[in-house]
Amino acid sequence: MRMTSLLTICGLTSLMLAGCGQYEKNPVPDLAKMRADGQSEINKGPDKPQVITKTVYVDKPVPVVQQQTAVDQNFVIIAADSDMNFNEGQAATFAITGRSLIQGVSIKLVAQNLPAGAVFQAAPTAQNPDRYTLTWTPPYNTVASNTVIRSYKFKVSAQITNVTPGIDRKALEALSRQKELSLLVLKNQAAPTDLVVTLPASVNENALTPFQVTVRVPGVDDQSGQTPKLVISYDRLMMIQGNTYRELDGSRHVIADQNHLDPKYLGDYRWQFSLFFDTKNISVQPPEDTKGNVVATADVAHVRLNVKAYAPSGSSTPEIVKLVQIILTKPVDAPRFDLSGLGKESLELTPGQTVNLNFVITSSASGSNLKVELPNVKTLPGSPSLSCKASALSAAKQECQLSWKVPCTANDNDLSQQISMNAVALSAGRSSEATAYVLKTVRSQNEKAASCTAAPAAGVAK
Amino acid sequence: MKNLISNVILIASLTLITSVGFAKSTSDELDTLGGNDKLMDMANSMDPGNRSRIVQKRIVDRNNTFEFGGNYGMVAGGDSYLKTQNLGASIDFHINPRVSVGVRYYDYGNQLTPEGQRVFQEARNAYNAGGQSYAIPDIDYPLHSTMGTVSWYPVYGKTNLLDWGIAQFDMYLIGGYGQIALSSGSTNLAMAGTGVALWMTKHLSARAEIRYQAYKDQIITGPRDINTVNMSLGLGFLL
Repeated sequence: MRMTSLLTICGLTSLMLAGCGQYEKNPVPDLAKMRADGQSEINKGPDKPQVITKTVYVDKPVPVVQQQTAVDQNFVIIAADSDMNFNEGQAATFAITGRSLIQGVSIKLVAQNLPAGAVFQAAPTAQNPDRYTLTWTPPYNTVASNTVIRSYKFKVSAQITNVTPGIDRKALEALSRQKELSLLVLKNQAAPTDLVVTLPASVNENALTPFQVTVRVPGVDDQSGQTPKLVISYDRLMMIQGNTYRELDGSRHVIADQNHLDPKYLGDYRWQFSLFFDTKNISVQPPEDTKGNVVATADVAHVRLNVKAYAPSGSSTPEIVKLVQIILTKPVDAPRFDLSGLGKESLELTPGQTVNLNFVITSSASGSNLKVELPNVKTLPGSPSLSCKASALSAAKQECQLSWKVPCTANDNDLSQQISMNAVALSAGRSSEATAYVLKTVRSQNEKAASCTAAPAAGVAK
Repeated sequence: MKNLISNVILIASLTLITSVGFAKSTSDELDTLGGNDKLMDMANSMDPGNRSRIVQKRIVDRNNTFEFGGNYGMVAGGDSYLKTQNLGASIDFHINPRVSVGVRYYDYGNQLTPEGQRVFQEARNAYNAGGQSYAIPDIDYPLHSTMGTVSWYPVYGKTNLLDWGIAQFDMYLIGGYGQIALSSGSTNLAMAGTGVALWMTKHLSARAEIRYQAYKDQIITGPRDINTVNMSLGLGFLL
């Protein structure tokens, strides 16, 4: 029985010894970490891009706090956009930055001597919390008419708004910074627009046809020192494809309205020019075919003219071409009076002045002789003279002159006359239709000439 | 490995020594399996020319008897990265010599096989080198298990062990079901096996078993079926 117990104990001991040695539960101590790593790799998947991490050692910047021993006025920075250029009539905004270099000191900028209408205000952004803006729309005529640029100087000063305890506010205020800045205003360079010409497409010969030209010139009004200019010209494009005639110079018929020599301001930068299309005092050129031959049987003359308006700055509108038909009132070969120098409907006379009016009478029939019938003007006050003589170039042209020394004593009735003239062209034994022309004279609005007032004064002195 | 082999050899030797020594020394004191004098006389008086068959009843009384045991075993199969051994304890209630029911508890010890060590080390190296998509090894090692068993002893007999003595043995079939605690948690465990029980005395037994055990473990890629073969040697005490 003892042997049995002994053997039993030995057996149990053997069993326990068998469990010793390399008997442990977890054979992989870092199994949990490996599972986590593996799970992350499984989540990434086999085809996902690899993330290769490489440790790069860089020098970490070390902030250096520098003790400022003295503070001068440079503790504030005021920086503006480099070119603050404004244009008349156009809004523009420029940035100005003001910043304190001392930590714990807050400032604000204040502008002085700004042009009227300019606005200076804070306009912080996420990138620049110390940003201010100067916004202005310079009105037209800010820049004088005789120049193209104007400079303004204004001041921007920094005012301390807040300081943290421990900083001497009064000392900083004594150093407060002020900076003088300048801006430029450029003269308006906008081109004129809306050019309108009211000249009818058809006018009669021997007529004075009034018409207007209107144009809008931005920035130029009646307060401007200058006015727009009008240019009427002939482009010499007489040959137009499809036409059987030449388009002759129509600009020679355009004369200014002597009563409205200056353009009239209509508002909203619109200007109006008053003109005449004169086919009475300015003879109509005989119509020509495409080869330049006079078309004797024509009853219409075609002319063209170009109209263009200029702003004082020099910019201009596009050119407008006007085509005008002049309906002839007499045959082509009939003589025609050309009093281009008259410039008005009537010859204006001023007592005491001497008037010399030169004009011509022409016939389109080459080789013809002109015969001019002139009235006796000697009976008129001052005994003017009126004479014509054949041109040295052609007998078909008569050069005439009216010379009149108007007496100081002439009154309005004396000067209100009608001088009737007649001309006939003789060619190949045939006379053309007679052309009559009546030159009207009126007393001008001007006062008497100085010569009329000097004589009595001298007499009184005597 | 040497440790394990030496342990097994030690247990086997102890078992044999115990059984043989007990048979020789208790022929007079105990009702030994080979000391039935009446039966021997009857057999000796028989005519040697005639063939006779005598089947003796089981000598050890196992009716309504408790048996407590302990065992050591090794696990084969299953996870190729694991080398597992176990120590077990059992309680069997023998309803009669043919049937017993019991409860068994096993505690497992685990080691990596050489292949497991290589694979895990390569995985560590690959991950530390920043490698991607490397082979990710994983194991779900057993901690302990508990199951209920039913044993059926259909065959019995006596055997002569190297002329040291005569011992009665029972060959039995065993089945069981229970829980096994893994590193990932507990799961169901089914068991079936066979074994030989040597009844050294009326109060001492030695058992050699081979069991098939099946359960599901849980590794990083999901669950899988684990089928293992458990071989164990043990001693038991009959009350």
